[in-house]
Amino acid sequence: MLDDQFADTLKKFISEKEQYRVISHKYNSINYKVKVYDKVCTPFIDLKLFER
Amino acid sequence: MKQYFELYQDCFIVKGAKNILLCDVHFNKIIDITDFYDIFLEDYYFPVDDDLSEIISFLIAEKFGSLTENFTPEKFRKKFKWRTANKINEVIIEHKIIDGFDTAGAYRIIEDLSTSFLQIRFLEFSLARLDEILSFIEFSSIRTVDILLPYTGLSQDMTAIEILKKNFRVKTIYFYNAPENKSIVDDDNLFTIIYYEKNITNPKYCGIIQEDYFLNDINNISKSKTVNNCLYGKLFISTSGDLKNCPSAEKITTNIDTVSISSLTQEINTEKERFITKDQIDVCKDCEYRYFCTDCRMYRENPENIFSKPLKCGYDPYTGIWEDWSTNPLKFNAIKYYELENLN
Repeated sequence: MLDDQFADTLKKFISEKEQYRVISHKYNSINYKVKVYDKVCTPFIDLKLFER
Repeated sequence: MKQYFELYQDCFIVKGAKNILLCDVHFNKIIDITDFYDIFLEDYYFPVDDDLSEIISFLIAEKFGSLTENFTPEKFRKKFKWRTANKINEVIIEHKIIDGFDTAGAYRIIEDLSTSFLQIRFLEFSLARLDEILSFIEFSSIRTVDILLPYTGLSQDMTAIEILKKNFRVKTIYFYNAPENKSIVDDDNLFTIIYYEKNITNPKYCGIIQEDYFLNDINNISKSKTVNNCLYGKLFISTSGDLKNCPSAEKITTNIDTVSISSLTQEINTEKERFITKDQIDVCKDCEYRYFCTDCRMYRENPENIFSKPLKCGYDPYTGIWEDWSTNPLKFNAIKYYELENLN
């Protein structure tokens, strides 16, 4: 169980962390929509259509 | 003694018109440091101060750098260079049941060019044709293959998947004209099947600029600083055997049936678009994403200017805002010029 003070500390920590926004989620996560390899560069797929 | 925080050699800063990024090519991380960039004396170090302990702790924890009493002179910092032995490293080739060129001869040329990456587009498809094409690359220098197949919904789709799964060069299968957009990723075997509603053999769908296409690795970044990261080393062979830089290119270089490797490599050296870097492109040169992003020289905001911003980019580096490029009134003329109005 979290007491209120610790919950506030955690909340503050998380909000502070968020200001250092990781931009390319794809390269900081294993949750890839389309796996990237060494491959031919053809950006023809609208990857937004695959968002969960 | 005075202490400094210094970025590791694999970390560097990219400044845009509004935002400033810190990039780590070793751990593939990018963070926005616009709010505290001014603490840096030079673009790779700043003096330690008690007020900065929180930022320093964060940067050390995220492995962006370390504390030192003697920061590295700039001449000993890592510089980016990009070299390749291959004039043509990526080939896109179209096939019908009967091609308008010597198919076996084309694959011999691809092999002689020591191409690493291949994309095979079947405009018409049969399993026998697939077997025949795969036989051409059975003992080749090709490292990875993407294959575009028309979705049929018949058992031949599954049979094709089973055949291609056993070919370790094949990494991605795209089923175009599919009933839904779906990707199935097999992480263990680095094998992906993508079902896509649109007919992506139509070159007008290419040239998308999105964050999801950003590549934060040393190969892409150093290539982006040296040549065009999309067009350099690329060759397209159409179903009639015509050779172009990419499927969307207007200019036909020559034909695969009549070309020699020496004449081809000389010819592609004269194609200016292959050498245009992001630092030369209008607007992109002020963008903080310029070394991670893809580029497109075939669909431009100003079709008359080869240094114009990619048409399909909706990002404004002067405001830091992404918007839908296709509804931007300033792009309507270019959309009309390239006949992209009715693509959806």
